[in-house]
Amino acid sequence: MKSIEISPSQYVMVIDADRCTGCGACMVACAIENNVAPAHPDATDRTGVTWMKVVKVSSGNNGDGKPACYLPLPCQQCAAETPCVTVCPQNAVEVDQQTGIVFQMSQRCLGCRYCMAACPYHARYFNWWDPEWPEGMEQTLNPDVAPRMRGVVEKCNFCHGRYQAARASAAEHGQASSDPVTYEPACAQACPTRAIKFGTPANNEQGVGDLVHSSSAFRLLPRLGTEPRVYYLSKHKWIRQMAQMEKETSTGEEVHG
Amino acid sequence: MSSALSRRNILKLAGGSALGFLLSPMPWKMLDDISIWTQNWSWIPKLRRGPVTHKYTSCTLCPNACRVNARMISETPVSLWGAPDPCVGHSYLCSVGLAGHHLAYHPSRVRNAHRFTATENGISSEQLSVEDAIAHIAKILHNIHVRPEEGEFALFDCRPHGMVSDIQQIFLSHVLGARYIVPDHHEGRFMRALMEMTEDPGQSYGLDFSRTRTLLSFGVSLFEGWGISPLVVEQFRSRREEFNIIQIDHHQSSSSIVADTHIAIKPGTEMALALGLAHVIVGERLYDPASAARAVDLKRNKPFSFMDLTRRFPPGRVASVTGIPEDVIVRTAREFASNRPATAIADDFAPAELIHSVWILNHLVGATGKNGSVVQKRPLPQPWKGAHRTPPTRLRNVPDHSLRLLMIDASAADTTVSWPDLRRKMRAENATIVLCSPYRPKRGESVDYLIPIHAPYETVRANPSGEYVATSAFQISTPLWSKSEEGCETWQILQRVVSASGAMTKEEFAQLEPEELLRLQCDAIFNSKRGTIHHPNNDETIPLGSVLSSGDFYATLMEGAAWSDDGVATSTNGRLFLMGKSTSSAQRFAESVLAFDNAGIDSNPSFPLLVVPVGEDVAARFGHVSPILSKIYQESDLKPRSRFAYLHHETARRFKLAAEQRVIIHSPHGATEAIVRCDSSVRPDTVQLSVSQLDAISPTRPRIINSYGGRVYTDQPIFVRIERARS
Repeated sequence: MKSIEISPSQYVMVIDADRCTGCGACMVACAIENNVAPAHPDATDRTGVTWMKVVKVSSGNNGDGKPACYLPLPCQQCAAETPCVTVCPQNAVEVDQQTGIVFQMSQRCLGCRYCMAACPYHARYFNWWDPEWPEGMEQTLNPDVAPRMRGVVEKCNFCHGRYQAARASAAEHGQASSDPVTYEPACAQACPTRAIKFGTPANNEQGVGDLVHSSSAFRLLPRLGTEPRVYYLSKHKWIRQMAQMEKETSTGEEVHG
Repeated sequence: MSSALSRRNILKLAGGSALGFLLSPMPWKMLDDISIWTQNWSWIPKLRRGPVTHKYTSCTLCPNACRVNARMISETPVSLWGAPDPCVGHSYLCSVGLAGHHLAYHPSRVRNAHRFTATENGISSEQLSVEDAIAHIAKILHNIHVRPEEGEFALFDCRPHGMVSDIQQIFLSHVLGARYIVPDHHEGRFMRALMEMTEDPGQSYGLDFSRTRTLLSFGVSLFEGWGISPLVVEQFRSRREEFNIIQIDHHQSSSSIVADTHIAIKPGTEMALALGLAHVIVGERLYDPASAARAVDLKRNKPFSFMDLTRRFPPGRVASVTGIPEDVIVRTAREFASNRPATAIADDFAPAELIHSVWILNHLVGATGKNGSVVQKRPLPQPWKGAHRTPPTRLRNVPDHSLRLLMIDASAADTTVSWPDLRRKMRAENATIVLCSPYRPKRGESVDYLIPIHAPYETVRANPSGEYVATSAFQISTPLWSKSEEGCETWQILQRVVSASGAMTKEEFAQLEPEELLRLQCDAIFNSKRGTIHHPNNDETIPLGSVLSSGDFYATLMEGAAWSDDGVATSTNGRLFLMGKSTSSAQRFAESVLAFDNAGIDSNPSFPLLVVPVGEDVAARFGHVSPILSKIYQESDLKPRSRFAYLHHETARRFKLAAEQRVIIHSPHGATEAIVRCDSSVRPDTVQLSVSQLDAISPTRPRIINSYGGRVYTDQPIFVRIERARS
């Protein structure tokens, strides 16, 4: 499959697996920012809604000095052959050519979940229950993001509400487009160790341009040719191999997430 | 031409119409409209609209006092973020702190007082007004006052820290026979242990990691939980390459995963390792000469010989005790002693002898009293310096069955107390427990009265800096909601109860309001004329001396600013005591070490697996954290779960167990069921169990929980065996 070059003006996320402490702050910040409701009592790790999900990956017994790591897994924002776009019968998934962000439009979604089946990264979530907040807590919802109802699929969109707010702010100041520096997803803002970086490769201030071309950068399941816009960094070979599924699974690595 | 309408024409029309309808936009428009309509059910929350503003305050959920930037919509907080902090550079909120604004709406929130009564069918609750509840409790206190033989009155302060604890102690000193009880272990215990090992009287210490090159952590949760995490995170964020972290942990914790070096140790043998490292440092003369000159008992033999003690822990022997290879022990000691500034740390909840041993390492490498390590700091100016206070009594020192009336101040986000321990201190009959909390009692907490107090961010609260920071600091946690909710603080309830009972000997503080209390603290700081004020709005720092009046200073703090003390000269030539300043502390330490040396940690062949207890989802689910924490504790598998027993693959194979198999875990005290999970991050020959599972297999053993850090300590090691459950 032909590899495509990601446009320098499109947004990418770079996650340093060697700096992630698994604290879960990104998961909570994401849920608050995007009005994801607390779990239904029957929800599990398979039926819950976690746009950003941190998983713990263990190397088994062969970890070259790092026996385990945490991998935050948002939607990978595939740039090519985006599987969820291809299968959606409702055109409820679109790729914004300007930003590169893959959108899920819940208004169009019929809840068929083809996209969930198609997504190789398991980064899409179905609303099995109506979103419910404890009494009064709905007052604390973010006014920039509409809550979704039961029966639709949702996923990470790089905090698109923030992107719109940055554009609106730029427009107020008479600018045609927003400065990429003013837009940052909630997970990147919340990460205490700066394991998550975000920006456009063209913008030097954010430093992601160099990172995506560094020797320790990798993407998940590159052989599928989906060209994710989420990059990972690790100096450890087994982590890079694991992400590419090149390592023999018999060595016993485990994923908890 | 005939215009007769045939049946065929009608069918054609119907078929054409149906096809035309499908090809028109109408069905698709209907689908869209139905989708949109179904997303506007009345029960889907409507979003708040209004002007967007930002408000600066500080978090009171744990003693770290992180700076908070609240995004407000129409005077209601919708998200909380970290803000610039004069002590640590920049505060980053933990997952609990990020959702702190939800706590006012916690499902367990109570607005009225309750009285709980045990009935045949369980516990029944009756709602009553706060005034009525206070009158009932005052009557009990009056009876205690009249008939002291009925038992004692006490206040249990779950988080003894700062001005509010101070005023409670002063207040209780005017109530005859009242006790002020604190948890056996609480935050700052590690730093306070240093007082027993240095000469400087009345000094307090903080940690300065700004130039630290080696951090040796004995099982401390470095990136989560209370205490040290903001300091470590700041260094990790700003100068990761120069900040070498060596984590000693029995399993692959989140800290050890991120650390540069993880040394896997047999649980409960950390003190032996610390003394083994000291043995190498002394034996190879790697210690700091200046510190060695200050350490008066380095080579002194009486009354207890430090050299004799460390001689018992040569690397070879420590290797066999701890399970760490001998060369790793020697290499670690050399690295720690040579790559300076270096600091060793232990958890506040760790055993006292381990904390002592860790301070010995710091003394040896010259960390104590040095920039980049352990620095002296001046205490926060106190408004009531010299006032008489009821001395604190540790819970374990309160005689069993001695308390008739106990008030619990649960304004802290979580408590570190074991409820069975607390219950044991109460009289068998007619004992009354009053819980002052914004929330209903948690499962297993049997109280008689519940009086609601403010939730976090609902009222003004004094918020001094945590014990670990290098300089004293003070800020006010200002309310995020402009409309004040009904409620009060525990010390105000205490005032009203005592005043109504007639038990108070002096009417001092009887009418004090929270704002007045804060003003008194601000006066004390202002009068000290030292330190600076940092305002996060413009990220500017000004000297306190440039503020005209104490009132202006108070107003600035109410706007979200923070005061921090000037740094003090840190180099000190004061004497150091490796064994302890007093003979009693030296004796206690020596005896603990010798007892360990003689006994060690040996498993019973019938119970071959050592339990590694961890905090888990139950702590979060039933604790007072936002329900949104379900993302971590319920909707993902990131943290340990309460129904699983986590085993290393090798251990599972050895006991012929497979993943997802139901098993029964037996201990000498009981048994519990669990499902096996294989996890190579668990140390072989151990089993990782959650706190709630310990209830069944170790029902009487006290334990200390630091929920957010996931750390649990037991006073004694627990050994178990695992058998397959019969289906």
